[in-house]
This record gives sequence, C-alpha cells and structure tokens, in this order.
Amino acid sequence: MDHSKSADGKLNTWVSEVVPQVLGYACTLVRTRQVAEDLVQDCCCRLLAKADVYNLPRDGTKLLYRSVTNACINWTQRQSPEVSLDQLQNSVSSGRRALSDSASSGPVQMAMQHELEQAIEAAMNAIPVDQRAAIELRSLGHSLVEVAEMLETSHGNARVLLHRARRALADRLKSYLEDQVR
Amino acid sequence: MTHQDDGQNHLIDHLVRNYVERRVKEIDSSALVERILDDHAQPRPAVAEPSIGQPIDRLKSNWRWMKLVSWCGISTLAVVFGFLYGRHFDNRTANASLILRDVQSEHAQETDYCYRVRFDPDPRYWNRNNKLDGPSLSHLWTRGDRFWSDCTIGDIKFKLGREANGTVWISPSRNKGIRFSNSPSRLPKVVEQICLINSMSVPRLLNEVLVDFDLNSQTVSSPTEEQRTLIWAHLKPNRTHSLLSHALLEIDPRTKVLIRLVLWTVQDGHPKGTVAFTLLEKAMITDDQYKLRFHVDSDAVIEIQALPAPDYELDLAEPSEST
Repeated sequence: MDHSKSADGKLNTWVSEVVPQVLGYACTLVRTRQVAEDLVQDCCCRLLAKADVYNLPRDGTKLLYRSVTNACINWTQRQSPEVSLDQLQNSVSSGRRALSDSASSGPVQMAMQHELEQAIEAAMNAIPVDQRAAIELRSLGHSLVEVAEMLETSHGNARVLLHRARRALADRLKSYLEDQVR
Repeated sequence: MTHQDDGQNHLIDHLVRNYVERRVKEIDSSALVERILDDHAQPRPAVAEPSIGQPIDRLKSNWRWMKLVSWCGISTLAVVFGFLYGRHFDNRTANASLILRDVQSEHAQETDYCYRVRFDPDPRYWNRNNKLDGPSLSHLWTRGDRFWSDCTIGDIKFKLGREANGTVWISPSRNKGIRFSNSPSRLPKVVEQICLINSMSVPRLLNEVLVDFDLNSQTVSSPTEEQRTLIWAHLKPNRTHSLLSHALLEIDPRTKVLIRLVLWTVQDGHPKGTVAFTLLEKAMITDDQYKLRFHVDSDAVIEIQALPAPDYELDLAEPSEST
C-alpha cells in the first residue's frame, strides 16, 4: 500500500513538472493554446494509462515529448497554412540591429529585447512545423538521436531538419545576429 | 562546419531555448495538470451502476443535472432521451479524444454522409422577428470539409454549400447563386451562423469547436441494437465559446462513423437552441453536387460578394426582383 502511494506521488510530481514544459512546447508548435492543451492532455492521459508498463518518472518525459511532437505535427499539417508574412516583415526588415543583452535593463535595451523576441517568434512561426520541432527539441538539450526518435524519423533526416531550421532562422534574424558572431 | 557557423548555431539554439522557456513561463498550466491528475485518479474500468439519468461522470452531480435541465429545457432533453432510452449502459470507459481522432480520420475520407439536421430554437431567447432564427430542417451532405445542404427555415428555402477550396455559396433558387470568400472569418455574420448551425462537418467540428471542451465517453448497448459510443463534450473550466455550451456525439465504434450529434448552441451568452444531426445514409455522390453550379441553371445570376463583407441582411430574393 505504501509502495503504491509512493509510486502515485512520484507520478503526480512527474506530471506536475513535465506538463507545463510540454504544454509550452506544444503551444509553440500549434500556436493555439486550446489545441495544445487538448493534445497534451490526450497524450499524457494515454501515457498515464500505461503507467504500469513504463517507468514514467524515469522515461516518461521523452515518451511524452515524442507523442506530443507527433500529435502537434499531425494537427498542424491538417490545418490550412496561416499567413504571417506581414508580421514577419514588420519584425525583421527594419534595418540592422545589434543583439541585445538580456541582462541589460535600460529602456532602450528592454525595447530591443522585446523587438528581438517578436522577431524570433515571427521567424519561428515562418518555418515548417517539423523543423520547428527539431530545433526546439535540440535547444532543450535533447541529442540528435533523441530528436530523431521523437520525430519518428531517421538520424539523417533529423539532422537535415535541424540544419534547415537553423539556416532559416539565421537568414531571418541576420540583422540581429551578424554583430554577435565573429 | 566553420568555427563561425558553430558559434551562430549555438546562438540560435540559445535564442530558441529562451523563446520556448518564455512560452512555458507565460502559460498557467495548473488547470491542465489538475485535469490530467483527476482523470488518472479515476478508477478504470468504471463500475458504476447502470443509470439512464446519469450517463456520465460529469452528470453524477445532481446540481449539474438540475442545472442542465433548467438550462436546456424539456424539449431538448426529449431529443437526448429519445435515443438514449431503452439502452443499457455497460460503463466501459474509452479514451474520448482517441475515439474522436478515429472519427475525424474516417470522416476525412472521400465518402459522402447524409444527415437530417433539425434546429429547435430556445423559446426564451428566440427572436421571432428574425425568420432566420426560427426552427429549421435540412438535409446535409458532407464529404470531409465539403458540404451542401438543402435548408428550410420557416417558409424560406435555400441551398448552401462549401466547395473543396473553402468557398461558401448559397442559392435561394435555380435562378440565383451567391458566392462568398473562402475565408470563414470574413463571411457575413448571418451566413456564418447559418453555416455553423446547419452544416457542421465533422472535421471542422472537431478541429475548431471541440478543442475547448472536456470529453467523456461511454459505450452503450442494447439487446437489439449494435454498440454505440457516446461522447459528451462540456466546456473546459473557465472557458467560454461563442457558439456551443455542450455537445453529444453518438458514434458507431465499429465503423467510426458519427451516427448522431446534438449541439447545445449559445448566442451572446444565452442558450440559442439545439441542433440535432441524424445520419440518414452513407453513399457516394458526385463532386459536382458540392458546387454551386450544380444547383443553379446555366443562365442563373451568380453574385460574387466582395470582401470585406459587412454584417448585412442576407438577400435571398429572386433575381427578377433584385435586378
């Protein structure tokens, strides 16, 4: 009985820790919070139904990311493409700017930081959802092998997706990046 | 890869990581965590006693049940009880979202389904001066996100459809047709409402409407009938929806086809009425039937509504009167 309670406690802790992270990630992929919540809830409940099969506190995070990634990609690819080019142009075409220091707190730095955040969001929204998933998963610390597993694709294809995503973001954020990389 | 490329990749990854982390911080996920944990805490399979009056967990609360009764009215309950009556609930639980994905997949196929669609306005909030708000009966053909519907609202008859490219059309007679933009957000409000109420295609219902709802499913059966899966959809806590408050779907678990659908609609925060869809047949009809041209004569007047569309009165007059 105690063992069962302890296991439930661990499972609840795991859910409380992982769901906010996965929901934030899902929101960046499908862009609609309600849809993201629906997909995360669906995937999480399906995983929890197999709590006796998997060690979820240990392995569940990767399984959940994998399942949510695929659900989000499938959902996004069923939708009509959304046009965000105007927003993108407004965000990134207004000349050359230096990348701001997030530690700076002056009004100019804060404004630049805000502008950069908008530019990144617009740039992220402009790239295909599978590339978006690849670069987000990689940036969150998953290895390329894990990214490939989560995307249910080959290692080579995951590498291509990641490369294309980085290149697309580099192009779109060129004016912000060029002063930073020497 | 050069050293400079490497540095740039690191910088991009760093920016992306910050972007994702910002989104995580912006979102309050406590309600979702609670729902997931509640769902997980529920015993499965359920062993509740069979009860027609309390078909799902969410209706076990008498308070909720009374609220539903007062809210929806006796006529609405009659619609629901009409097809629930006489069935035995075996209380097997199922993953509602998973079932709906199967239904969505089935209805995304190139198969045509014909539904009888009946709208009963809520008598308390029925604006009798607006004919288009009245009771309606229509026959609806759907294929994926395409549809065409033969509608009768009071003494007004017209046909309405959405083609493969998303264009919505309406035709009051063989002599006249009106085409609208392929952007639903730019349809005249009255047309948008008529489309939503009379032509809820399954993919659109599941993609655009039920994302705001909590789902509960239950399998029902009777000695004489095949098994059916019922899915109740209730608005998630602290959510509002511009069109719906509740929905009930009846699904054939074998074919994954939507057999019946009841929508409790709202308008401006008040109950508007119920829409009941009943499957009449599954068949194959020609692509042409989803197009406006099929429903008008070759010399008919076709109006193209320029955008942006104002919230104007829908002109369903015959061409001879309007031109």
